Amino acid sequence: MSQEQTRSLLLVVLGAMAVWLWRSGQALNYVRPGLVPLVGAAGLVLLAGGLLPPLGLLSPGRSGHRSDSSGDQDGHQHQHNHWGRVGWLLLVPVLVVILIQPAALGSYAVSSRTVVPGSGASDYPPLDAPVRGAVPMPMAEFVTRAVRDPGQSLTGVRVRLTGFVAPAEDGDKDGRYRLTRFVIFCCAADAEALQAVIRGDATPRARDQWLEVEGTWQPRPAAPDDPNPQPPVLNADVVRPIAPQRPPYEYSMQFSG
Amino acid sequence: MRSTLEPGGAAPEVAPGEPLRRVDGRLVVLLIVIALGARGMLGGALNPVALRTWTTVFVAIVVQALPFLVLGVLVSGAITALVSPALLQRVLPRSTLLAVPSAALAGTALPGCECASVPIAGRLCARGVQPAAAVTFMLAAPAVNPVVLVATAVAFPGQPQMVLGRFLGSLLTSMVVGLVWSRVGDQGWVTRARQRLASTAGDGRGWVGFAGAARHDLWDAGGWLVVGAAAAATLQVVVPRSLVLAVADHPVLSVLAMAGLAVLLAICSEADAFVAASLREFSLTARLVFLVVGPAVDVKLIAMQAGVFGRRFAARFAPLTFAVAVVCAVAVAGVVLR
Repeated sequence: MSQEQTRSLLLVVLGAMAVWLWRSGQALNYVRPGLVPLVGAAGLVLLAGGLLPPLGLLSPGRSGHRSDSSGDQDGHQHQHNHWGRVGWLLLVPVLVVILIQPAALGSYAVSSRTVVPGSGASDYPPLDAPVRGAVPMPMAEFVTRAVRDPGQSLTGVRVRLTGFVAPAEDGDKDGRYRLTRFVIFCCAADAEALQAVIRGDATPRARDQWLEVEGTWQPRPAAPDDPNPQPPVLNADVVRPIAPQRPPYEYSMQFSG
Repeated sequence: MRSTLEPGGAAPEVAPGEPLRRVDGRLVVLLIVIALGARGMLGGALNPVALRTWTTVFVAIVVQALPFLVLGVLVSGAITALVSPALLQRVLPRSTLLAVPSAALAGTALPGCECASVPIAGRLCARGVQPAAAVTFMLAAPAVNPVVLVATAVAFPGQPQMVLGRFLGSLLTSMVVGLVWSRVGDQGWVTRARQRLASTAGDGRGWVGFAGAARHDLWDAGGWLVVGAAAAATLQVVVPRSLVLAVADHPVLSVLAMAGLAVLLAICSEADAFVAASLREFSLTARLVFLVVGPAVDVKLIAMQAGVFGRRFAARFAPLTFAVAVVCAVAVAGVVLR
């Protein structure tokens, strides 16, 4: 195989990885849903570049002689002197994806990424209607209302939250663990953790186990402007282990849009 | 050809056919087959440690950048195939003082990430665009395009001055760096980059020129993207954010901490506003610095610039850009954020 063909092969491998991440939905572990089709499109372009003429693997009559030693034109004589070796590193993400199964960020990524969203523009819209006895809501909405809303709209409301188990931290008192959800904006590199301290669940829970938790907010005075407040507390009455959620992340801090 | 341009650096000048330089395609196939056979075996061993966070962040940066990188190299291929140096000579202003602002404004039209603009700037240089203008374009394109500005407006609801501040700060940074670089920068790197790009495959016209240039730039910029992503993922895992938060109240240190954070997090310019919005411990000034520094200089970009323009370029350009971006952002914040 010539260098040119080997590079084509690498493009094909990289493109195949991107297409697989797109088709299998595994790309959701890494990027927001809106970017997933773009990853697929990039994969298709890479496949085309690696396979199609004029330079791809399927080019007629170019095999072997062109890029290695013949130097048919001046420009090509020194060709691979100027192709650095760094491009081979494009194999690394492919091997990582194959060898280490894709996974979403988990409890080990939480460390000091915990945030509480700001109060936002102004109003808090009315709560959604309860479903099966509790109001389902994203973690972003629960945390924002609980910490920021001067109208205390969560008081006495049974809510249903979904997230995974991360360890409790200092100051969580009798909370056993923190129900956690990551918010990502573009990709997992910009993730921030939203957390609620869960009280009243006597069962020991394994780290990273996904749970559906129903309960009521432990009221406390609103802190609209505190830059670094403690996460809110939920007094749980029903806790169900569930399968990991797809997509694994939330994608906005601003629940009211 | 000067060896300083060779990104690998170790043994750049090797005769064609030297065995060490040749990576056979069969090796690639073998690696992939072995990996598929061992699929998931490492997953269990890696599960509990920080390495799992590292792999997710690392792959996320590469995957997220891939569409923008592909877009960038398609544009750079098109530049090679369609735009002749003579055409650019006719169209572009001669004077640096005119070329730099036009390049900054041209940058506002390209809705891409940083990863797209580095290879494009390299090709523009190779095609005879003034270095100052190419550098300005490279800095302006990811920072002030419409997508980024809309994202900033969404992330900071009710604070339109952040959008204005970001626009002015980044535009100013790109122009000041362009002008300063045209005076103090060692211009030798341009010639070398030009020779290097011109002598690689695909300096021709038509489809071969297009495909050759796009493939070459993907090779270079993509490889360095992997290096930068690995560095950024490592820093994210190793440097605790609490270290940065500790200085949030100090007016000077907080600005420097946010600038440093922007460099080491290497967040895409379309997402950094959301992260800045959530770092509520910091003053708006410090967060504006984060937004202006991030798209101009971060570990991923430094690696990619080293690949396209050479390591000596990156070693001088990154500190210059960092300093100019911090000063411009603080100056704009003083005017806009009152």
